Amino acid sequence: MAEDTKRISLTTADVNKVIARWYINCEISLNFERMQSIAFTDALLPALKKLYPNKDDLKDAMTRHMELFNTNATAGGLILGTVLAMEEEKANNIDAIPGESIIAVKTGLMGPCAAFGDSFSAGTITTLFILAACSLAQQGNFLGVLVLFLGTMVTLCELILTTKLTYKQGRSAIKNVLGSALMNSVTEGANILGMTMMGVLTSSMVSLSLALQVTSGESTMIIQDQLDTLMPGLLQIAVLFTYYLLISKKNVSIVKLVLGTLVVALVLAFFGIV
Amino acid sequence: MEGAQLILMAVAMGVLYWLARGMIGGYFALFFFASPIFVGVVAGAIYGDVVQGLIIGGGIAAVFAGIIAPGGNLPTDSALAATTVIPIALATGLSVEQAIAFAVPMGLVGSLVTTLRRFVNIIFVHRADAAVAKGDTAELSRCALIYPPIIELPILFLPVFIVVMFGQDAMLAFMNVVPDWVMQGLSVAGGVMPAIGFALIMNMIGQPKMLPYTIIGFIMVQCLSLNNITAGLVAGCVAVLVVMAKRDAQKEA
Repeated sequence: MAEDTKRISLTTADVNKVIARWYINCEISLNFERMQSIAFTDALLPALKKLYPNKDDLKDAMTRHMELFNTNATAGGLILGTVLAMEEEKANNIDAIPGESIIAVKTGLMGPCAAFGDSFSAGTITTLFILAACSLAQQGNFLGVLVLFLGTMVTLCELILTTKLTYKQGRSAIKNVLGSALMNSVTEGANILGMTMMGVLTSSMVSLSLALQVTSGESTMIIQDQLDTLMPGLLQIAVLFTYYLLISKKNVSIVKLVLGTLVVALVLAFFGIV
Repeated sequence: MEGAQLILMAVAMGVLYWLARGMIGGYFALFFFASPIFVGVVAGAIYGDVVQGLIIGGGIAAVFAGIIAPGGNLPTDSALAATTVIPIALATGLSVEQAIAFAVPMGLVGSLVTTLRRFVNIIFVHRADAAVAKGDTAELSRCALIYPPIIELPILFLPVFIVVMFGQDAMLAFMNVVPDWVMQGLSVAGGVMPAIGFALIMNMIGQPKMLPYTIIGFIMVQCLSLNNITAGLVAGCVAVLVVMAKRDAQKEA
């Protein structure tokens, strides 16, 4: 009888082991057939082995996690914690949760988690750290390496926090994280900071000036000087906005932007304009 | 570079690329090993000019900063760009802008390499399935951690090793042959390319109505000569004020 046996539960060390394995191996076995499924199953092993001492139960558990899985690995802590909580419940009462519903939760959440992780953590927070690191590095400042390292650690912290939160509080915690008002405010603030920093970095990292001179009679007019009296750096910000319009309105691919830039720059240099 | 130094550089860059795009170490590899900043420091240390490595790395990293991988698909590969172009740029004395102009197209090639890797890894799905069916957890762990890096070693290490070994001579030959306007054009292209990365970030995080923030940021540095950190602090304060004002307005409503 289930009441007679002692309840199996995971210790903090078990959860930490799973987090560490997932952080390290999440993308190593990435493949087009089932993406991160091997990594996810392998990460869960310490927990599964403890939860299912019976070998057939362990095989069943491993088999269900080999289904296709792909998400942003650090925001994926939301799924990792939820799955750990569900597996623990199932291990104590094998009929409590059908294996299919664990799979369903995983597949249902991997899209929202990937979108959240790619846009918020990787897309906004890490990008801000990377850009700060770039501007330091370009000035020859070694703090750039430290800032880059800190940005990397932020995503690790996110993985640890999201996993522990969802493991302790169960499935409802995910909605609280993905849809909370606080999270929306943080995202919005980070976006304002990000948009402003794009202007800051354009000024310090983008360079463009005209070499063109117009000679009429004895006087030589340097076109760049004329532009500078209008507004310093007008060309740099104009280039930024041109790229932005091409990307947001015309969906021009990166490949075309890069090759187009090379061609235009070479043509302009050939005629001595830049 | 020549002799032992060149071989050391080629091996180090090859190994670094293998770690970065084999994702050995997960997101630490993705964000740290793969960053042109870290690659620049390593290459600079081997070449004997760490600061110049850091500076070139910072320039290349800025272009790629906005390019994240939705669904794991890298449209362009900063790690390949950095591991191949930074050593060559150091050895041949390319400017930061010229290095960027070579690095960005190289990054486009890199996305092919990472795609290839994900096809090759399919082999291990079937090994892992078999291991699971037998309940062999050790074999499953090998499929997750050991086999993919081994089979990827030639795919990821060799291209970088070869390019670094022979690239600087090719680059010097190229620089001797082409007329001045070509190098000038590449400098100009490399000078504006970071704006592509920034525009990608703007497209990802903001809407057109947020463009005034970008203009304010630009003016703070260009016209008011604030340094980046100070300008960042101002931007952070503005962000807090705007978000707070909005929350208060929502509470009252």
